[in-house]
Amino acid sequence: MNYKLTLIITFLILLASSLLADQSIHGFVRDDQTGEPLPYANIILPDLNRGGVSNVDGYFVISDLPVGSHTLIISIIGYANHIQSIQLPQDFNLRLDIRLNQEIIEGQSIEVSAEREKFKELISTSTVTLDRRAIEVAPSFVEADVFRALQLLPGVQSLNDFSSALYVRGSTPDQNLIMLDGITVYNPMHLGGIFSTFNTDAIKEAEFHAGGFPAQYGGRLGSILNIINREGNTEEITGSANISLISSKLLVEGPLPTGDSELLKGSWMIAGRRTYFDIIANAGWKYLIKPNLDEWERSNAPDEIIPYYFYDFQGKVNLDIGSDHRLTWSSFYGDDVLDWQYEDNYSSDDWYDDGYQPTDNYYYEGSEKSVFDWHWGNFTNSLTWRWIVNPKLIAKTFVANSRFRFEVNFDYEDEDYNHSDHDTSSSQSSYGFDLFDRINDQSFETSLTWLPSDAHKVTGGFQSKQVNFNLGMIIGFEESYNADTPEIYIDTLMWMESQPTESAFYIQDQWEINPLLSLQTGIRVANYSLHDTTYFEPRLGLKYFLSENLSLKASIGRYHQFLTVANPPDENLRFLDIWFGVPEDRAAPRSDHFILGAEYLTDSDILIRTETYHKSFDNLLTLKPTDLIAIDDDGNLRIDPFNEFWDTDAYADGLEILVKKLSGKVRGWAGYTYAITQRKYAEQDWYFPKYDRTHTLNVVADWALTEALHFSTAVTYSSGNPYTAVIGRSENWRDQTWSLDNSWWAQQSFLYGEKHAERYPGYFRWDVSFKKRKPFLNGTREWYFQILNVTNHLNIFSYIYQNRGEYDYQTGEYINRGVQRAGIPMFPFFPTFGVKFEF
Amino acid sequence: MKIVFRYITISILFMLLISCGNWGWESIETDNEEQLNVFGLISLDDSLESFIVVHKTLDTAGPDEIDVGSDTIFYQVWEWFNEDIGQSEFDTVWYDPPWIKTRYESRYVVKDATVTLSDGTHNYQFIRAPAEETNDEYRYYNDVFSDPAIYLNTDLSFVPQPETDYTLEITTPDGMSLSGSVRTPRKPQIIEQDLPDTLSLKQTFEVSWNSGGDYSATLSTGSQGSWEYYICGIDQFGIMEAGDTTWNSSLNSWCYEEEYDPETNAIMTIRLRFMDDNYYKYFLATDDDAAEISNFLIGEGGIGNAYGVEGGFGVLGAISTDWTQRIAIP
Repeated sequence: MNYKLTLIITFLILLASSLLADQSIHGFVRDDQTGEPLPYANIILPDLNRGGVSNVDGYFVISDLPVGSHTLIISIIGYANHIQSIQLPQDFNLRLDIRLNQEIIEGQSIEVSAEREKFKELISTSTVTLDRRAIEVAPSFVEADVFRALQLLPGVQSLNDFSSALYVRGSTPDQNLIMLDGITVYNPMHLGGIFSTFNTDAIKEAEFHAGGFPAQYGGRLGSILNIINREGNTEEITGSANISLISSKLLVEGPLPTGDSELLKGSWMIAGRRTYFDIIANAGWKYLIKPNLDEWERSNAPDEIIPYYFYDFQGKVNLDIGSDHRLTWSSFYGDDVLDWQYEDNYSSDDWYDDGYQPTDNYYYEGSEKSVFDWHWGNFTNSLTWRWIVNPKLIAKTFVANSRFRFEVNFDYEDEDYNHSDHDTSSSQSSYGFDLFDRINDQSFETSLTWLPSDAHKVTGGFQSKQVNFNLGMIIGFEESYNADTPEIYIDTLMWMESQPTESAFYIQDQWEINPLLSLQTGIRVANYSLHDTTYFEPRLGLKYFLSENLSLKASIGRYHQFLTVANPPDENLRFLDIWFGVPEDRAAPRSDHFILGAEYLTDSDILIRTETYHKSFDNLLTLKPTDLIAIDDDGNLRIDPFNEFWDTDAYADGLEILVKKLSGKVRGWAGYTYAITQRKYAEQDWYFPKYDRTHTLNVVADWALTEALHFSTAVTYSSGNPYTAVIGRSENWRDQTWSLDNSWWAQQSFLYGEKHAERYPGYFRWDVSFKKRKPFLNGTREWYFQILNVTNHLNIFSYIYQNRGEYDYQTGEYINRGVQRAGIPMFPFFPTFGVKFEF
Repeated sequence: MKIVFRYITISILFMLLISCGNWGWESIETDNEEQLNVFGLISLDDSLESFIVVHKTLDTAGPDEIDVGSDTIFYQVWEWFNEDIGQSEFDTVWYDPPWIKTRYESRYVVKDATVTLSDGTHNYQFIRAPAEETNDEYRYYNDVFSDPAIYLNTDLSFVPQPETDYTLEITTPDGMSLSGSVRTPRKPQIIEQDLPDTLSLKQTFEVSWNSGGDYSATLSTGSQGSWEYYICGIDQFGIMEAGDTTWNSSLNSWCYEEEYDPETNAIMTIRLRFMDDNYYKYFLATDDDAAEISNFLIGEGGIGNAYGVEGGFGVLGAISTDWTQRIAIP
């Protein structure tokens, strides 16, 4: 209630102060062909030596202008300049919605301009924006993936090739707040983490904060990734189709059918993707291979051999109501499905076929049926209302629902009937197993952006989020004989549920103290329903220009996280995050960020950025590997693995260098990261977590050989990840604890050294891709060919060990000669190709 | 443009040539120092003799067993049960030429250790005294009583006392050594009069005993040695925390479906065992999992546990036991 009251009072004060009369211009800058907003466009009044820059929504405002006639120039490289004369009477706010015409194809230079303006405007450290083109340039597995592109940035590390999860500056993937159009997305992975759930065709840009993020963001310790989908073409219906080795994608966008209405205008975008290797493989199996099997093999062969696929849909609708109101609906639906069914009918006729002859009119028949249904995925919806209250005050209200489900269902049924002279018995039985992890997030957020002068940008807001977690496992069976009343047994082996609420109020001011010095101060005050504590999170950012092209930056901030995951700390594959609210009796995990950096943008559009950071982590929760199965007080079997945690501390230090070439025939970036991350809990002194890589060098380049032919490459070299090595052999003494008999014995096992004290060999991967674009019908066609791990370098995923032995067939004895190991490789040499159509 | 593609192709082929990794198994060698790995048990259970089993760790190189000679086998006799006639029969297999069967011995075992247990007043020597020499392919699965490196107090001078401190010293001729200490638990005593003569397994029952002080306890029930009189639910087990003095049996819903003759009964043995902290932590406490590694890729292992011993691995524990028996009915 206090939050609401504070918000209302703040809104009224801001509204009153904003209404103080002066002269201003404000409005939006958009692409004339598509209607997409153009961020970081220059708005200049040369005769007044005043100006401004459009924000991410394309919105700008320049206030406190003198009465009279002025010349206005709006420019952004890649578009023709817009020049017009404006007349400002006394106390008049002039609304201007500007459309710019593209001058250069592919918009190559827009990015240059945006980077230059970002260089000037952004105070926050560690922020990178990747547009769709940059995402597509970065080679990935089979098809473009935003997470794979991010993994090539300094400070972002991957656990291995099989995971697209992001490990950012010592933070684990659960410490990243991943949003799609502002909606939190839990477990944004397909195929066990190999792909992210986001269809790159639908992405406009991905805004990534690797640390030191401002007060409007919270609830996570590590990083912020906000993926913004395309708004949709406001002028005409267009689209694209993309066929890769594993999936097909389709995107269509266009204007809302509002006719010539001046009041209502808008756009829509819908994109979908589905993998089809299951369809191709199953069709090949069913129509080509299976018919050629012999009769017995065919009768026992399944109808399908690959029961897995994934699909996703994304949609977005924008509706402008008048010039000051906009409603935006954004949605995502995606599922991974593993659906396997088996059915068999049998009878004693089967035996007769084999030559068996009944002796007493015996007839037997039965059937069995198994269904294994495993699906997991996200469903998100959000509605945003943007209201330009007055030129200096913008209100945004956002409601969203994000649901994640992971459900495994196994059912087995069998029926048997005897029909003979002496036996007419029958039996029916069925068994079922359900395992599920469900998350339901309901968020409400409202924010106010107040632009009292050119020097200040004040943002404040309130956020509230209730998240329902439910993890359970249920088994059951039903049996009946001779059609008697069935015996039914159902047991809930595991049931964990919580509904914590997280709410926060924040305010921040971006203050340009003078042309050389800018300051961003903010505070976030958070509350978590399971704790009595009020959490204060101060944030401070500073930027100082040493020269026009060289700036120094610094950020410090405190962050809390109220959700955690119960994942094994040393997992090789991060298939699923099992989310929970931080328990009542546990302090909220906390992290402090200290970042210092410098940026230099050369006249030839090469951005050089270096940053050093220190992050400390307290109160992290590390899952304790307790017994999976336990007996409760009533003597019942219970599976209760996610209740005990070690209180864990950690720190991360690092140095990052990014060199990004923004224009020319060859564009791309080179990033170097030096990083140290260590963790510690009561039973384990400081150690390097599995994802720690000391040195990482990434080079990503796109070479426009001709206007239509591109060659892209990515080279990654990094130090090996840590692992715990086998240093010897030992025996564990075992006992038969429960038995009345006294029995102890020695069981051979490997003797391991210190936790994660050894490192795998260095990681090296070189990927290349070629793209060729040609006109096709009314649009274009683009072929692409890509090779992963060109050199087929063996990158170790994990070692497996064996106590080497050989069987001597002459003596019949087994001879052991010592311990051996073998490395499980990550991606080998792997070519892929595909084609993309745009219309 | 052709030159560009030529350079790219040559570069790819060159990198491919130089970068192929070594895929396959490789031997690993470490210089991990061998250490003693001991299981010592001081038993205040009249049915169980105190023992010390002395093994050691190995590094990664070389076999884990050594060739200690060979036997010349001319024939083997196999016993098998002939169900048709209801009795055992014997088959003889002759080897011509004779089978030279190599004798192996585990390299983990330490057969030349000097093992001394002390109560502070007297020293008790434990001498290697395996029940029988074993040399078959199942030796790794044998229990400690047939271990070639089991050390026993063969002069029977050692009579362990409850709530007494003992220390262990082990040395070997090649310089390995290990020391240990343990305090024996008090003797448990089941309160017989609180237990009915006959116990129905369809109802819960309570077992009570004298306080174990700071010692943990386990309670096991079962039809020891009489499987023909097995009744569903007769096997139960509980782990008690220090200070507990009662245990309640549990009902097993699965057993309700079983049908028995009304006359069915079985002798149920109830065993209460007190144990010291070393034994409890090594064998029962789940916190030990912190030091264990179990992974579907790298197999099972650990960094080695040591409870009650210093200078090596293993455990020096102590247990004391009380038994009673009751008639159990379904």
